[in-house]
Amino acid sequence: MIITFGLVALFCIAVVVVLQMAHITDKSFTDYAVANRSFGPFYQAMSFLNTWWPGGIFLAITGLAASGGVISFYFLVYSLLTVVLMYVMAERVWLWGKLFDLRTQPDLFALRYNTRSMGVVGALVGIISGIPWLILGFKGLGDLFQAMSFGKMGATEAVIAGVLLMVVRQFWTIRMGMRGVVISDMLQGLAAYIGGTVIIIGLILWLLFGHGFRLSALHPAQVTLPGLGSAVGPHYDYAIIFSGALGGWCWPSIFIRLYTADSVRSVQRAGAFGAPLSFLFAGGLVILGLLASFLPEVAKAPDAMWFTVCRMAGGPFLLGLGGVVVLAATMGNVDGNIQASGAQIANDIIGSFKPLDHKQSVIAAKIGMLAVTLVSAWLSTLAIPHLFMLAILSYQGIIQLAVPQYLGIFWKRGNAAGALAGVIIGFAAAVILQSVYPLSIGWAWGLTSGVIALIINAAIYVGCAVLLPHSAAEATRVDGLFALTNSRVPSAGAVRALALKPRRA
Amino acid sequence: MPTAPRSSFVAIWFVLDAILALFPPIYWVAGGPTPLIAGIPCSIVYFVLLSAFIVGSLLAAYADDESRGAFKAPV
Repeated sequence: MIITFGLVALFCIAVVVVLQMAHITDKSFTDYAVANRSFGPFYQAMSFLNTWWPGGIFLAITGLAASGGVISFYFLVYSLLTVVLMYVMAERVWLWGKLFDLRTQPDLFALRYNTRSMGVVGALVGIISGIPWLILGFKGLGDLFQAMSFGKMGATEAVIAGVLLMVVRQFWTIRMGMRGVVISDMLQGLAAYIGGTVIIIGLILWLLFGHGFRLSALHPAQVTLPGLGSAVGPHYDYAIIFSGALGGWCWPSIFIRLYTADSVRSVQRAGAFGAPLSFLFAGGLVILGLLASFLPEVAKAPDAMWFTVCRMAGGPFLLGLGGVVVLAATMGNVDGNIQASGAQIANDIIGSFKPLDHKQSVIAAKIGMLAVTLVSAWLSTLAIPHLFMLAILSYQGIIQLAVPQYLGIFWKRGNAAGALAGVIIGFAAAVILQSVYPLSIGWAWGLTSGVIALIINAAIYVGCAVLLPHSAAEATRVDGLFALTNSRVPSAGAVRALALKPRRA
Repeated sequence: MPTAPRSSFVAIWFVLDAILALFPPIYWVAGGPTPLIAGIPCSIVYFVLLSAFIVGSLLAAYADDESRGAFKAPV
C-alpha cells in the first residue's frame, strides 16, 4: 500500500507545487472565470482533454468493452465528432464572446435571445445535469482507493477518502480560478493521457504476447453492433453517438473552453491536436478491454478491470501508476465541472437578479463551487444502485441545450419563447421518458429518451420561430449580431449598437 | 478583405464523417464480426478506420484554415 499510495501522494504534491508557483492574482472576474483568454494551444489541448475525458473513463470504456464489446468505441467516435462540430461553430461563438465580454454559456444565450431568463434556465440545466458526473467522479475515486488499498478500505470509506482528496484539491482551484484549472490540467493531462496511453499500449502488448490472446478469438456477440432485430434496437448506436456529439459542447465546463482561448486558432488547434491522442488513448482502452475480457478475473468484475489488469501485469507499482493516471484524469474533469458551475451560479443565476461587482462575483462563485462540491460529495456516499443510469440521464438532459445553442448560432429566426419553452419541456420529457425507458425505447427502434425529447424540443423551437416571429427591432438586432461575424473587423460602433441590457461590473 | 470560405474538400470530408458514423445501414453492415481483415474482426476495423478518418478531417480542416488565412484577423 505504501507503493500505491506513495505514488499518488507524490503526484498530488507535484500538482500543488505547480499551482503555487503559477499563482497570479486575478484582476477581474473575467480573469477568474476564463483566465482572460490568454492560454496558447498546447495548454488548451491538454486542458481540453483533461476536462473532456473523466477519470472514470479508464473504468467505463474498458468495462463496457469487456462486457458489451465493440459498442464501447462509441465514446471515441462521439468525442471526435464533437470536435468536428466545434470546427463548424467556434468562430462565431468566440467572436461574440470577445466582442461582448461573454463569460459563460448562459451569457451567450442572453446575448442571442435578448433575455436573461434563458441564461438562468440554461445554467440550471447545465448544473443539474452535471451533478451525476461529479458523483461518478467521486465514486470512481472510491474504486481507486479501494483497489489501491487492496480491498482493505470499505466502499464508503473509500468514497469519503476520495471526496476529501477532491475537497482539499478544490481549495487550490477556488484560490486559483480558471487559470489554475488550465495550468494543473497540463500536468494532469500529461500524466493521464500521455502516461496513460503508454500504460495502455504496454498492457495490450502484455495481453497479446504474454498471454497470446487474439482479437479474432473474441465471441461474435462482443464484436457485433446492435442491428435490426436486436434487443436494444437498430437505432441505438446512432442515438448514443448522436447524443454524445451534440451534447459535448452543451456542457458548461466544456463550452467555457471556447472562452479561455486567446484566439479561435487556439481552440481549433487544441481540438485538432488533441484528436490523435484521443484516438490512441480511447481506441487503446477499447482494444485493451476486448483483449482483457479473456481473463477470468476480468470477466467476473469488468468495471474494475483497469486496476485488476494493472495489478496482474505489474504488481503494486503498476497499480499505483494506474491509480495516478485515473486520479489525474478525475481531477481535471471534476475541477472544470465545479469551476464552471461556480461561475454560472454567480454570473447567471445570482447575477441575473442582483448585479454583482468583481469581488462579490468571486465570493459568490466560491460559495457556489463549495455548495456543488458538498452536495455531490454527500450524494456519492449514498448507495445509489443505478449510477450509470444517472449518467445516461444527465446526457439526455444536457443535450436539450443543443437546440437553443446550435440553432441559435446557425439560424436567425429562433426566439426566446421557443428557446425557453423548448428547453423546459424537452428537459421534463427527457426525465419522464428516461425513468420509464432506462436504456432505449422499443417503440422508437432503439432511440434514447434524450433524442425523442430533443425532437419535441426542436419542434417547439421551430414552431415558435414561425408562429411568433421577431419584432422588427429584434430582427434587426439579430441580423446585426450575425453580420458582425461576417466582417473580419467589426466596428466599435456596430458592437455598441447591439449591446444587450446593462451588464454587471 | 473577407476570408475565403472553408475549402469544399474539407466540408465534404466533414459531411462524410457524419454519414459514416451515424447512418444506421452503414454500421448494420460493417458492425459484425466478419469478414476478418488482417485477422481482425470487421467491426473493430470499421471503428478504427472511422476514427482515423475523422481525425484526418480535423487535421485537414486545421491546415485549410491556416492556408486560407482564417487566423490572420486582428481579433
